[in-house]
Amino acid sequence: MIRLRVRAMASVAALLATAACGTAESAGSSAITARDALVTAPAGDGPAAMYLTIANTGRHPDTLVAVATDAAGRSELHRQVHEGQLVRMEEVAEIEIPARGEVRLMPGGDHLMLLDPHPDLSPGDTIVVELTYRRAGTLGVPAVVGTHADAARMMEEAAGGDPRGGR
Amino acid sequence: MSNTSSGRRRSPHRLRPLGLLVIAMLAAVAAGCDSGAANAANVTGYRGIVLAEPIARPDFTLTDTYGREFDFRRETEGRLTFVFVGYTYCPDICPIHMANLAAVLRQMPGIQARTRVIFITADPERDTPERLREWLNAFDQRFVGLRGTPEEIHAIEDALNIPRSIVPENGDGNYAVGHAGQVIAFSPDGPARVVYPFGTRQTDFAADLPRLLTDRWEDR
Repeated sequence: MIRLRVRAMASVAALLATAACGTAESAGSSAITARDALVTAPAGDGPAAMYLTIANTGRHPDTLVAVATDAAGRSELHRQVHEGQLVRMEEVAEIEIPARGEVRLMPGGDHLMLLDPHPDLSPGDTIVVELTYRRAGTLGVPAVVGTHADAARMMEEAAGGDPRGGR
Repeated sequence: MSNTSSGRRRSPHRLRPLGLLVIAMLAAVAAGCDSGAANAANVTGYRGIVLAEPIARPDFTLTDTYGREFDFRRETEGRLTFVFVGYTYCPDICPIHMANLAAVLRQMPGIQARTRVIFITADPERDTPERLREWLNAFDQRFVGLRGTPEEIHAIEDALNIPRSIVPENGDGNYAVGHAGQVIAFSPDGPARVVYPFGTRQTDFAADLPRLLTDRWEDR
């Protein structure tokens, strides 16, 4: 009798644990992966922009809510708003990463802003940036420091060929 | 321990991923601009966006990074002149346009000799002459940097047929400036007929540059 009850309780507990965990979010098996991170060393002083791709293999959307790095004083999430010919940039509180999808932070669009970057930041350096997600927690991603020409190239490769198709 | 993001006032908006924004923006701009314009022989084949109405070369004088008066018409007469309004704390649009133009012109020294790149700052408060010069030098020492009062800048933006730039008044030293994203190409004979939005690649500039220099236009 006791043995049965224990076994039943163990089964129920296991069931509950599975339901609560959902997608694997424990260390070492996050649904979130960040890759191809590029930081542009600013010309003169000023903020450094960071671009990257964030993939979410999980069944639930996740949300990037914070960014931090030792290589800069303060870091923020930004988006660029295109209103006709005018381009405005503004800070946002979060960036959603869709379930079973990915987000590409690219020049001209969403990006991360590293304010007061370390003055020695130079093309060729690699820094570590900590990204905090609402579900996945804080994950570090290495980012290569490059030039604005590198950022331009990243943008062109993402667009994949001539978007205007020539005339 | 890393520094954390500050507790500044943040937008309450939830943001959807914007995906390939650049392509969407380019498509929208291209669709919105009527290219069945002045001169059929010249209109086809440009990578840039051919304007339905050319922009007359504006008449203004600003101060360059060396503190000298720069009479735009006199200084750029007879030259292919790229004009862009931006600011040096801009994360990507401004430096990428400048980096692309610099790279292309470096590959075409004969064309560079007949071309001028003019960067007008929409942020004269932070973009001091020294800072503007240092920033432009990272791309090309020959690029001209111009500064003026907000009123002068707005008048020039009106003449260039681009939206007036917006400098926020919240006093935070890290503010972003809203400004037009396209480079305007003034042909050597005077008016501007082609503009280049953000997303324009080096290969696009390189393809158009020889034509911008030599095409004859018959404007309506």
